[in-house]
Amino acid sequence: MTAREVEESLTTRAAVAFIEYREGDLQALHRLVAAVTPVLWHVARSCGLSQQNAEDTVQTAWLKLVEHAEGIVAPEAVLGWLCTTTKREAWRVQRLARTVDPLEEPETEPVDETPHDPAQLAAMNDEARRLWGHFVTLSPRCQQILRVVCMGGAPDYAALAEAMGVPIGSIGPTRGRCLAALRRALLDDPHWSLT
Amino acid sequence: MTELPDHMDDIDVAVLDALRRTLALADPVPDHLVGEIEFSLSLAAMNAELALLADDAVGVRAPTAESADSVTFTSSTMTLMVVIGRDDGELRIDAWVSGGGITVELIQGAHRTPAVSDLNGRVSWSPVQPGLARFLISPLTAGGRPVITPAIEL
Repeated sequence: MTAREVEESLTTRAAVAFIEYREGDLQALHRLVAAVTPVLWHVARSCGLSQQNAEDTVQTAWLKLVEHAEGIVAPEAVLGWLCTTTKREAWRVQRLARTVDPLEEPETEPVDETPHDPAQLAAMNDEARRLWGHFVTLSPRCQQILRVVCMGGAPDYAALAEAMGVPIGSIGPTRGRCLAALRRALLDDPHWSLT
Repeated sequence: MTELPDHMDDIDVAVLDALRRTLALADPVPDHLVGEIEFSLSLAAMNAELALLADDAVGVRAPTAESADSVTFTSSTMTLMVVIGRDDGELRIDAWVSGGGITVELIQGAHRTPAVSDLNGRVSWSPVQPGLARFLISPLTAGGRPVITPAIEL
């Protein structure tokens, strides 16, 4: 999948697959799962869930989609719906784990950002290692927003940021501030070049 | 080319693209996740009932799957007893379900191997690969619910 394809199409591809699924095409559900699961994975992980809890959470979000498919009025909203559902389920799992006040929205904690698997570290190329080094110095909130927003393309940025709880009016400034911080760190890094 | 929102430029897009590539290496989506989601969704579509391990009210899930020579699963409509043995060094499974002519599928990851029970309710698979496995039992009556077992370690 090229960057350009992602940029132009995640919201639309999800909406088209969702419409086809509701019309009875079960293969379309597989296409939807394959396209959107990576985004939901990073939504769950950006909420601080362990790998296992993130897997369960993403799976639950999909089961809820099938359960509530008829209630989603606008198909183009399905990507945001799935992200929001995943985030809420992630909070629920966090609350169960920590027994915090159920009325209080939990503060987002940074995911343990260090890849522990030696094979994973070895697989990271120089660009990835450098970018990761700068990424983990951002605020937890910025990490959360960028982690999810980067999974879509330009048309998806607003929907993804909104699903992560950035109010509509501040999507541009908030995302922009986080992105600007990462961009500045990278451009100031003499060993990093944009390819 | 899609118009970029909020005064973003090509460098911003390149940074986000690079971050996406980095995340694919630093925190990759587990390989099995999409397959497991599709399996759960197909079970939900079939309205399958989850069988329980007899002598254990809680279903066993993958990370804590039991290693056992013989296990029995029960549901509201049927019982499945599974015996794991060896045949010339290869794993072999014999199972007994409550009735003949019932289709039982051995499911290991994406591999599904159906078998039909004989008059004594017996089904068997040989050779079988080691690893996690579960069983899917077709409905005993028209309009009935299929039954899926928790995973066990073979």
